[in-house]
Amino acid sequence: MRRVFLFALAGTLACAGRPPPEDFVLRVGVIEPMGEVGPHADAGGAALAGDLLFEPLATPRPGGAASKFLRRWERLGPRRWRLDLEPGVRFNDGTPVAAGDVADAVRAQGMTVLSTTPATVEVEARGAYPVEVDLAFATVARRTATGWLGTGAFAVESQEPHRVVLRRVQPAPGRIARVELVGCASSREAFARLLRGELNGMASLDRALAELLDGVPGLQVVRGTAPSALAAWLSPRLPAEERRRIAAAIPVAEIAAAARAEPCCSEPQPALPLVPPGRPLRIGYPRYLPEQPRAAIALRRALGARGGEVVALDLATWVRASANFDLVVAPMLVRPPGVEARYFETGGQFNVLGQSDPAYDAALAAGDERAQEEELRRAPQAVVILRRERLAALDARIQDPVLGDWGIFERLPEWKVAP
Amino acid sequence: MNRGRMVARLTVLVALAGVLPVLGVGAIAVESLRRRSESAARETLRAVAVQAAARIGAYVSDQREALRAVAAAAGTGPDAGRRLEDAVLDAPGLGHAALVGPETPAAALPRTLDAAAVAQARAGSEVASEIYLADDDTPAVDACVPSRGRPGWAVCAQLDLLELWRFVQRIHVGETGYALAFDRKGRIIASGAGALRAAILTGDPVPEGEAARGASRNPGAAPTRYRGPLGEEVLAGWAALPDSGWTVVVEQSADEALRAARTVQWVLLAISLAALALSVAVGVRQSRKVLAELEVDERWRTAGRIAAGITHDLGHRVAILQQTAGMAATGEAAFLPRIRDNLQSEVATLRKFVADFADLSRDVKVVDRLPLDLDAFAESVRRTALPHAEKMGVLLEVAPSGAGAWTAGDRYLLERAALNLVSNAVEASPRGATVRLEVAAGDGTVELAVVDRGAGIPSGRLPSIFDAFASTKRTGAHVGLGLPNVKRIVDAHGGRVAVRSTEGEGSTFRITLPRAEPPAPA
Repeated sequence: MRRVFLFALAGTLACAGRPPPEDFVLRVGVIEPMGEVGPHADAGGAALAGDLLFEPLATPRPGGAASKFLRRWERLGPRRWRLDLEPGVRFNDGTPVAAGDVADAVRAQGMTVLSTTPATVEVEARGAYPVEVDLAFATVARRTATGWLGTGAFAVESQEPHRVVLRRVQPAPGRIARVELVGCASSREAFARLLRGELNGMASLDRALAELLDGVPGLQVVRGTAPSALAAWLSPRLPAEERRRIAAAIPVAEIAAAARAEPCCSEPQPALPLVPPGRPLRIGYPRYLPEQPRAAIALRRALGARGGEVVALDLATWVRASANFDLVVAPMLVRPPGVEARYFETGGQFNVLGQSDPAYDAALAAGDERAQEEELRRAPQAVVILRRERLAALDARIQDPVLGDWGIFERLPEWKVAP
Repeated sequence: MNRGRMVARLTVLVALAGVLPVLGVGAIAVESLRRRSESAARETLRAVAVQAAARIGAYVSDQREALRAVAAAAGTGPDAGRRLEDAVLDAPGLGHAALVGPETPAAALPRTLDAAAVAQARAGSEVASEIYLADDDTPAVDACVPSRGRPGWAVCAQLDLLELWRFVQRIHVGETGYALAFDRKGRIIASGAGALRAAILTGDPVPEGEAARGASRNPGAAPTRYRGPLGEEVLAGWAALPDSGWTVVVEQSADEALRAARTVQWVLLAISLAALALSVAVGVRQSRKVLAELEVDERWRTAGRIAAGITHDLGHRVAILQQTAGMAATGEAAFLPRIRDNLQSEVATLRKFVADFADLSRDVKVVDRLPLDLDAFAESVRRTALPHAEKMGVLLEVAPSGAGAWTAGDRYLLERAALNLVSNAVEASPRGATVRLEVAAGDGTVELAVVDRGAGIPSGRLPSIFDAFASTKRTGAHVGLGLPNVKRIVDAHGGRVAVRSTEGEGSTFRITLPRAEPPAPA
């Protein structure tokens, strides 16, 4: 009998295998400065931490927005919305998320709070575009004496100038327990430390460095698409009809390939109309992305005789300077759906070229998406050249990690870790 | 020697005779195979390295050719700068392409080429920098080519060598083989081994760096077997790119590279062991069979010898008894003394027959090994044999060792053996001769020799003198069992018996026994 019991015990243990790691730590290299951790951080390690500490009122998903805080949202007018709150949502310290917290979040995005009740918040958006866009930017957080309080799966354990440590609030066996954001002076340093095994994660990898990870044991390269794209913005200095003809003549695939320094193109390209004659078009670009200079030159070449001067713009002043250019090659958000209205609506938050198209504004106010698309075809304001790719290097023990559609690490709490 | 030991000995002989040559030849073949395999593996690695170096060299040449083409496309017109930028779009491997002339500020010159080098290019010679990591952390070389249509000008660009990484990383030899590339200073610039890639970015030295520096001048002299970066023994093949001074080494763990040879080694070992096992099995089987046949044959021969001896000896006895019976049948009183003597003599002879046969049938087992002083023992034997010797008119003498010749044994059995030798010596000696019992003690052994000055033993008989039924005395009182019994008894004591004899001069039988410590005084 005793022998049978021992066999049974041994069998049980053998079937159980190794227990999942309870204290798996993901050490992610980030380029300094680290930035201040908070709901509005938009760069550096602080922005990565934000993905794990805070959650937006609505998260863009391929099938539509999902919200932990809102049961639903209802349009009351072109810019007026009522947000119905989901009861029972709490901050990481256990205190409930109140209507006031939601109101603070939407206010931080420039919306006006018209009224609040314990179960609803009525707001007026800055534009007539879908409110999901603003909700995606509106992060729920509460300022406390010790720092920011969020609702994410992680909380700040410690913060130093060169290191931020986040710990999972509710233990989850087989998942990442802690995330350490480690400041590095350069991407090269971060990458070298990754290869040496001092780090086991690096976000926002570029393609070239990803090449070096080929065959490195213990690491995997994870790919996803960023919510941003590289676009050629058409200046309002050009008449609508000229903008339409120019936009139609731009060989997007060819320029995208040139921007990526890749050969073009795997598929035959459709014949394009000729660029309308006229004066040379000035092209400017702010140096945000490595693809921009080549994209700008490729655009000029595509414009043929109308391709004019190509100028790199200073990052601090490019918005003001761009008024002097006919085309500006710059990044723009393409997700969540409707976000383009922030660029194209008269007075829109990102409408840096000063575009103004009353017909588009009217279609937007009416919520008529088809009319908006038709108007943008008639009088285009930008041409998307390439969708940006997201690359991250992660510990190979993380099983099938998926990068977020919005925040790159927003899906990290779900990632499973192999024993 | 019992039958089992004989079988074992025969089996070992058969096995060694059969397998040792196989093992010897196999060992030579295995060593030869190992050397050839290692040599072939090194040659393969060298060939891969040479091929890789050639492709890397071709890629760099292509990049420089692309730069020349771009320079040509730029032309000499006022829009040369724009044409240059447009042309570069079709040469993805070129970055930061620029027309460089006399007025170009130093800040606009290529990052790793100084003004002198650029001036050289403007004067008509192509120049290139050492490999370095560009701002995007990828490997690059700065190069300048003269502008054909614009004297005093050059076109400079950064040659993207990301393909170098890709190419080196794609080289796999077996499961563990990889390639590394070094610049002329021994700094690693591309690595197929993930563990070394950090050194590309940091510039940290790697173990092969020193060898790489030497290999850039003479790849044939570079080491081809050494401890690899992960601590394992590796085989290596080197190749150099003469123009750039770069070297490529392809490494593979010796363990894997020589796996095939080792497999053959194991197969040969297994075959050898199988042959050994087969030889042992066949040896055992055949030895048993042969020994069984020999045994049967020997039994028949022994039976024949016994029958011959008995026929001869008992026939003689029967004849005497018949003659005695004839004398008794006459009823003559005068025959009575003769009849009595005959009967006494024949009964004694037949008793000896019976005793000898009894000895033959009894196993010699030394049950009680007790300390025995050979000096005293010899004297005891002399006294026992003295009546027989006196009857034969022979003197008996003892020459003791005088130093205490102790052994351990069964006194009864040893006495029977010694008496047998003394009896033979007395019977072989002429009247008036002396038989000596000589005792000696040596290192670890003691000795009792029985020396006579009789007729001696023919040399032809000596080799079989201790075999049963081999006696040729055929006096009617011997069936040839005495000396075999002596040998059996001495063997059972862990000793040995030997004979030295010269015809006409006499014989010496020497019993040698293990020496023992004298008993402690009571």
